[in-house]
Amino acid sequence: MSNSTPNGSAIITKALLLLQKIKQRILQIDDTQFPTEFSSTVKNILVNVLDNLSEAPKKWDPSPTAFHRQVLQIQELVNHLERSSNDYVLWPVVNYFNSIWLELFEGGRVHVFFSQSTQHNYSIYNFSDKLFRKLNPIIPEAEIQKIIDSEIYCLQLASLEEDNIPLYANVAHEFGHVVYNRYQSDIADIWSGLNKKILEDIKNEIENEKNLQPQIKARRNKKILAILTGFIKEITSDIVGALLLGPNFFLSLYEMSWGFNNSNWYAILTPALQLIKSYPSFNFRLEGLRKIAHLDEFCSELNAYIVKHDLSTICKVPDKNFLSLALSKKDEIIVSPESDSDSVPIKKILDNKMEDIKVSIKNFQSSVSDFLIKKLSKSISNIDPSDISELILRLHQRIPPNIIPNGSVFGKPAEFPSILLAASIYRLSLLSNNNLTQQMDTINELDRIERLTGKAFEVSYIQKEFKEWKKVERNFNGNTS
Amino acid sequence: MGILHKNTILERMGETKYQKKLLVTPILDDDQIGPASIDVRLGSSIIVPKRTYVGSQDVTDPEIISQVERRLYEKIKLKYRTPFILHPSQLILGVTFEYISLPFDIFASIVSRSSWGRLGLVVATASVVQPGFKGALTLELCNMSESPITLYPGLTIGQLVFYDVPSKASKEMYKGRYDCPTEAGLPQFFKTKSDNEMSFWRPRNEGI
Repeated sequence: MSNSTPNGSAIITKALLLLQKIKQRILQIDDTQFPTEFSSTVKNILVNVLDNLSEAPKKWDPSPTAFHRQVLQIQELVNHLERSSNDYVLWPVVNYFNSIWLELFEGGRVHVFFSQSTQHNYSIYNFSDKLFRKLNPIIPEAEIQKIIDSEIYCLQLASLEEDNIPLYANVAHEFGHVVYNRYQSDIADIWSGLNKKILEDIKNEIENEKNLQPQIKARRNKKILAILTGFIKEITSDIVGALLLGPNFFLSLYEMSWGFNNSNWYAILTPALQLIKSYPSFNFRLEGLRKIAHLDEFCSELNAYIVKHDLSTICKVPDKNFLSLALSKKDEIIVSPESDSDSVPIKKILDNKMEDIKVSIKNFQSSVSDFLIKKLSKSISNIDPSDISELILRLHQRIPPNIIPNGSVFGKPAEFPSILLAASIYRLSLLSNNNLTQQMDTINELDRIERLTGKAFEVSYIQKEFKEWKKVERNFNGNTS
Repeated sequence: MGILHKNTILERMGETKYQKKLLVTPILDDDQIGPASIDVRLGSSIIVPKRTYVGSQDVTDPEIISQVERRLYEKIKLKYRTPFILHPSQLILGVTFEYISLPFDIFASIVSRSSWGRLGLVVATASVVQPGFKGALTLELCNMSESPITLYPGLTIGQLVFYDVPSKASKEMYKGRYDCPTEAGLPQFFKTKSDNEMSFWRPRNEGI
């Protein structure tokens, strides 16, 4: 459709005006307020995109309505860029996770920028991919490749959790999705080695359905395969979370499970198979993570230090009883939406096979965990329980958990996962000891812990950077004197 | 009551019992600890007053004070290695990078460093830190010179001087207005009982 008709011309002009306004909006974003350089990269890409889009009507004669629609949709990405400044995200936290990312994907042209979501949920999406799909109807692919020359992800942080620092550990799970994508074929091989029997059983169950057309049988089978793949994606991401952040991820997931039925598995069907989402139950995920994160051994060692510091009355270490999960409840799967004609039959099949599915996934967990330990060995966290007890002691004394005392005035700057874990354990302990008459005191104490933890992240980050700089400066001055 | 010198400062910082420990954390450099003081740095949290919206800061009127808090101030979180320009006659509230914890027998006062003073930067007008206080200190930074001054978070901006408090003094915990603050704080009028007396000083319908 040409843009030479009066109607088409009006739509194009309107879209070009909107493009101009969007570009102004982007140019006004203050780069100095971005926590990492990759937000600036995204800003430059978007400006470049808008410049190219402004030329599109002359160069490529796109459909006016498609052009207008895509310009409208670009605004969503600009919103994500705007919400990636220091006003919305905690820069020490973001810088820490950025450094993990650079280690995980070192040498690659895969980057991430962090943005605050309007949803109460963490998520990660491929920004470059999304931008490509928005531009593809308008600009030729070869031209788009010149504009978007690297792979950039956007990690969205849950909006209501900006002050709920312990839940930041979920960022590591989101990184796990990208790790899954990177090693997808290896992970698929591991899964296919373990799922033959369950897939055969499911296929037979569908085949045995009388009076069902072959295409419906095939469709249901594919949907179930997609659901099972979704389960292993989440399990893989959980394992990455546990490897990167140790017990932090377990406690974070434990807290996220509050308010949900922990025995429910979920599958959300869509016509497009690749968009089907599915989640194992919190109970199942937590029980598996407990072993991978060596939680029980860690807590047992930590408890010894807690007793040594005389903190037992004020800090309860999360042991098996504290974290007792309702494992006796029978797991079931919730398949939605109800309007999908496959949801009820799929639910019936998966509920019948639930125990076998769990066994297969447990075996997968163990195998993929060994695989990931080898691949991510440089990034695996190693938290010392004695450090955690020192940091908890500081929190109890209303002091930021930023250093481990070592006899010097400086102390040893605490590592991010240690600060996070001390805060998580202490606040979970407060929450579990809380009763209604003390609620206000507990709320004030929790607020204090959040502030002290935020301060600890900031100052220990700077202290480590300063220490490195001092070392280099001393070496330099030593060599030149 | 005497000023603590370096050896005593280091001794009290080395205390293992937190109730007796003098804490200024983190210390980035040996040189921060002087013969009778500890240098403190500018933190990243600042509050910038805005000139519009509010007519006058009448602290005896709780309604006006709550307006002041809502409409007069903008909270900003600076990134490190990012300059902030303080213009002539401009006042901002900053915060120390360090977190301070004073035991019950030590009192502190924060004073400007003379180098900044000579440039026209006044760092602290409310300089007293009570025994038992825990938190980062809010600094009132005012440029009294004719030229703008560039500030960066992390620069050493003031110094803490410590005094011992006689042992017969009260061992009560600090019960002031500010609860373990970690960022620059707004003025907290009408938060303590003693502020209720402000209504005595306000104009009344009948004259005295």
